[in-house]
Amino acid sequence: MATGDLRKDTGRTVFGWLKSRFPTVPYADLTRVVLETDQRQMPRSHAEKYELKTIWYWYPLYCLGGISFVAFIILTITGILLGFFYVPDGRLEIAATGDLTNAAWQSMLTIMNDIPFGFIIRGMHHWAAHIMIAAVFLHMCRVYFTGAYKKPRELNWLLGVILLLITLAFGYSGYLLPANNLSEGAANIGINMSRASPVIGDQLATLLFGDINTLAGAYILRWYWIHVFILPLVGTGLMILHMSLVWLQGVAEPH
Amino acid sequence: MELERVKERVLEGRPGFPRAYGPARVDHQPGIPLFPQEATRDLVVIFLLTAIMFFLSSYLTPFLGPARSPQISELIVPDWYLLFSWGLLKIADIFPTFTLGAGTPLAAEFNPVFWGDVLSGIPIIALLLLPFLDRGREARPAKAPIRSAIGTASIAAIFTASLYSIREVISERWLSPNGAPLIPDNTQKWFFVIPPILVGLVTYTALRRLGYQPMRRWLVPNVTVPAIIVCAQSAAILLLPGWLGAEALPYVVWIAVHLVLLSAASAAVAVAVIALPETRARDVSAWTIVLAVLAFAGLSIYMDATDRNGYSWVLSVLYPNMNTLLLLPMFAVMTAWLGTRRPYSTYEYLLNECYQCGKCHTVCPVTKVEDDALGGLNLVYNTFKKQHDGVPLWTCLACDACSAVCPLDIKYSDYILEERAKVHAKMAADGGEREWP
Amino acid sequence: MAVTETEYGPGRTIPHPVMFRVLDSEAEDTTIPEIKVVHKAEVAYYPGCVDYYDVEMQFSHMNYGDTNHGIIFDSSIKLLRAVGIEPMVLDRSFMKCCGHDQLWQGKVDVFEKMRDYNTRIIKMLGVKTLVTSCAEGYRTFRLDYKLDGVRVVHITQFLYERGLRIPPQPETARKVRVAYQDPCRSCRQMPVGAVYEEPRELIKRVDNAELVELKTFRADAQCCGVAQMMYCNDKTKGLTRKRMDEATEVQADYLLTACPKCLTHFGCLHHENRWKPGEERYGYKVMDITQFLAERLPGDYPTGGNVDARRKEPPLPGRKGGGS
Repeated sequence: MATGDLRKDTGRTVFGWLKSRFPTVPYADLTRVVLETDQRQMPRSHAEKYELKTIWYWYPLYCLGGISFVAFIILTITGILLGFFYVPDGRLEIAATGDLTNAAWQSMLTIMNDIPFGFIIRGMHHWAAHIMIAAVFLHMCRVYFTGAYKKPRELNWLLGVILLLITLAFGYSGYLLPANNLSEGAANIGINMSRASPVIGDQLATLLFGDINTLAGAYILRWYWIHVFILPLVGTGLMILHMSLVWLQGVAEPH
Repeated sequence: MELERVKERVLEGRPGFPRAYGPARVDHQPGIPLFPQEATRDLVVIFLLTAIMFFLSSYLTPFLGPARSPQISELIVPDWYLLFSWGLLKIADIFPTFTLGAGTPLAAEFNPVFWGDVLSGIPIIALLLLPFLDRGREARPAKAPIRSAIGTASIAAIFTASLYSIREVISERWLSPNGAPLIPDNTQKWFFVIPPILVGLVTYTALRRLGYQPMRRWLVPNVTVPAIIVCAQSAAILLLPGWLGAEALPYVVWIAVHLVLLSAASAAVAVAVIALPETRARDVSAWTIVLAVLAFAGLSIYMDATDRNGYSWVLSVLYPNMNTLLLLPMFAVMTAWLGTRRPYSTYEYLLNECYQCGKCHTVCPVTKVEDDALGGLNLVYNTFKKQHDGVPLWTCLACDACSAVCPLDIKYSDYILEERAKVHAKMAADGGEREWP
Repeated sequence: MAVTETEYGPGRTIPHPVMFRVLDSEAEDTTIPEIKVVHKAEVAYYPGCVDYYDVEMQFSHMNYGDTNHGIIFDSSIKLLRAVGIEPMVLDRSFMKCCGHDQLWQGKVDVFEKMRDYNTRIIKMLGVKTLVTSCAEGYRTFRLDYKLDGVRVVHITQFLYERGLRIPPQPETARKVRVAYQDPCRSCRQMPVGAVYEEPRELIKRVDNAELVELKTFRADAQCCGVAQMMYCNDKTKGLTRKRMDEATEVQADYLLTACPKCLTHFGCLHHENRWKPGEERYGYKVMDITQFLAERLPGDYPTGGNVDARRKEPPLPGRKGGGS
């Protein structure tokens, strides 16, 4: 039976089965050390430690970064769920009723009307996106006003700006995907802005949107891939790096 | 003798009063454990957030609308977070259009969309360069007036840029009685830039005052120039022929009342800032704000209730000039009030600046000889926490060596003077000094 | 000594030498007596309580002629005459104590009485420039009094401005190393008008004097150990000793100061040390900068009146100790 002693557990337990096949012990031990080490305690803030009678009312603003990360987790989970049903095809079709439609928009209708709780999942995804963008912006304001971008945290600030752009790109690509009129208008604006670049304008528009106009609906597939793979991969990696830097360097407190 | 009693009271068993500094220190305070305390704390926030999102999703379903069609007739408004970029795109039509190298393969067309791209890129570049442009050591926002002013101005600029992005909606929605837009495009363009500048200046004024810097040389131009502009423009509108359209003339009395109110408010604070001493100027500014707001609100409610048509004519004069007639009086009175406020000046607030660097402790000569000071006398900090029990208060030589090295320029001798005077006042109030108990 | 119970617990006590009782009670009387000045001028010299310190130190058996405060007064007059100024002496017969110690001890009401009285007299006499030889007086008159229209200067500043020249010393005079103590009150505590350079310049004008800086000098200078006569105990003596040890370290022959209070504390320890045989730590002389400069000018001057010439040695132990 499992004695709880990592070294003595035999093959009759689940952990023993794993232990006899993979070198789990050093890693399990490491985990225990990591969890039990002093550094794993949340450090007291400067004001708490020194019992300073200092301005406290902006400490809640320090959770904005965490809120944006929580919103990102919710977006990931709801995004995975939505991805089961969304079809990234924006080509124009005529429906049986004679109206103009496309597969992407039809899949949105399915999500909203047919899938159980689909409208809530889509709603969570939508609102979490707004909350994340708002939290990221307010977090940036907080860091700016408290001067927490100064030495030695310049790299973290640069990462943060890139993450802001990634978040905005997430939001933009997000409302391009439902293939409704908002998506069409926004894609038009985006294509025009890309085409306005000197020399490489049209190529840039084709690279980002698949075509120099929205007629064929090629932008849906492209931005779907950006929204679902490229941005999450890059974004998650940078977020982890961003948070690790905060862990290593500590939180910059105002006084 | 009393030193022993002092030692007992002060040093034994009092938390947060370290006996040693640096490597000798052994009483490091632990923090909150990650599990279960911190995890619980965080989970509460996470659950709250999720609950809010559930609530919003259930009751405020996001919009879907009809499928996309290439010929859309209604105005498309992007989500709020990209409106600022769209606004920058639209304001770019003030830039000239030209083409470089027309006809060649490397032709580059400098059209409004391109300028809009450039304008949208400028905030990004500015953000990226920020830590390399601002290399100062000061982190606290209240102590960095310029940085904070630029920050508030930028936030205001994002807001006005977003408003400008829906300029067509604004122009079509609100009309003046003769059919022209109530807020014409020109006014909206100016509204793009004027409020951020004003917000930044007001922030700077308030923080400059907080830092005890000389205010007169800053206040006088910032209050009198807007007042002059407002008064001059009001006079021009009322007196010069041709400013008021013929249709507005029957309502000139009401227009004049509004303009006089705005001019009077600005002029009052301008005169107060120039001529009165600071406390009087502060009172005048505060009263001007209150009375002007009440008067303006009262006028609006009254006119709206009685003479709607006349009111719309009044608005047709005020709104197109709102950048000067409406914003500048607000700016002038706010600047005057914030610039003459009484900053906190008690020594508790000043001592609060201390961030426990310990330099005062290092140079204080008393700490070199006092037994109970050898271990743990961090002057400013301990004083602030009222853990001095008379030791630094009465043995202090007031030689100001601590103030000379303090990076925050905290004048410890001011505290000594005040506290000792207080003790004496208390003794006198209690009927004089007690001799041996 | 009285015990003061403060809200923070048993506080320290404030020793009240007899001198202070005298000075404080003086403040109560606010009538202005008949003022007779020997010579009326726009430049006034305020000597302060220098004579009282002599009396106090003698009374406490802390001084047998090696510390002389009264000479500061006479030296200052001589120096002012040397730059062509005959000052109006603001005598203690009609002026009160400047109130510095009372202010810093917390007796603000006593200070305010003294301040108002002194300010009235200064205004009445039409003083344009107020010269003091005391750093604490300099700070008090400059910062804590509101003397509009009166320029307050320390005597070293005044002498430097008026171009005091010390004639070349006789060749028989050997080179002396001179250390200078920057008083806290006139240097570090002054946000405007700190007196760092002028005394040093004046010392440099004495051609056989070599100015040596102590280990901590200018804004880092260590305090002489006692302030506002708050205490006299082993801790303050420890600080004074630390400072005087710095002078020994640089092998100074003179330790000069610009404040009679610093002179008091250095003199007290110097005197203690002199009478501890076998422990002669402080071989140098301690004096005020005005005395040092005045000695190097030609001409005689009265050399202080309050040191009892009959007192040469400390009394023998026991109640019936010798002396007068």
